[in-house]
Amino acid sequence: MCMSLVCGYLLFKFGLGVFSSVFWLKIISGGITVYWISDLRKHELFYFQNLGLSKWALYSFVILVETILFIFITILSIKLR
Amino acid sequence: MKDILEVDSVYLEYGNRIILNNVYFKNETGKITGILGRNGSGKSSLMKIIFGMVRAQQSFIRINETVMRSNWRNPEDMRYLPQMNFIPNNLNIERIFNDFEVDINLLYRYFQHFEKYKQKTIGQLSGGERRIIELLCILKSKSKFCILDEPFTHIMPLHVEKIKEIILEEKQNKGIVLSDHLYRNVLDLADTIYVIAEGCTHLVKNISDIESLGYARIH
Repeated sequence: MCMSLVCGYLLFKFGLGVFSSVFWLKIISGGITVYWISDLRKHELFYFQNLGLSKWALYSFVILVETILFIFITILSIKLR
Repeated sequence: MKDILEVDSVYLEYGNRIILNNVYFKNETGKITGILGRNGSGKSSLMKIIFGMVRAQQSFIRINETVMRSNWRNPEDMRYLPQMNFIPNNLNIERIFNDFEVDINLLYRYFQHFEKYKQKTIGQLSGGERRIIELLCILKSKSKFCILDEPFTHIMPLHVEKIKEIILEEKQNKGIVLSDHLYRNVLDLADTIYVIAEGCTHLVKNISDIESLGYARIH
């Protein structure tokens, strides 16, 4: 979510011209976050698995929410500019 | 109704090293199955395979003769206590019991001193206290089977005795698969014991088998 706000700020400040850089920033930071969770906090996945939530269900939900948030913040940043 | 868990034809290798080869064991409601084995023999891997967290080259996990085809496990079928602390540090104790749909008063009934921790997060507790909460949530939540990997780790002897009582109590409602290097506790609890040696499960028929299979010296 922090990264979505940073992306929104960059789009607000510099406009749609930097969209492709902001987009890749979002993708790369998302990849790093997923790697960090899968590596350093992998034991916590057992908690969710024990509640019936698979790893893939969790990741899919997070990616969906992050994508919706990113689109929303992008539109808002451009409109407010 | 009696539920039956069967673990059959498990074959697991990492690189060229065969960890498990043609493993079979069975557990059912009202029974405790103990799994013993030397470090690195594949006990934890076997438990993760049962719970669907590790994919073996070959495995058949069946509950009441229905093969689990995907890696996802219904919590009402089985729950798993991993070797490591697994509850996120920032969750408070009440929330954890709610998530597992377990009455928190059970915790206070068995371990009175936990009442003062009601609003604390699990990250603020000691390793042994964390383990007790993890164990209670897994054991007391609604499920047909519980897979417990080293449940007695970090727990002081007095509480180990209490936990053993809770395990025996829960055995009435579910099947329990248990592994721990504090093997005397496993021997006390288990109805059936298997030793994993050279990749295979060996059913222990006599206590001296544990020694002859190279796991422990029995006096």
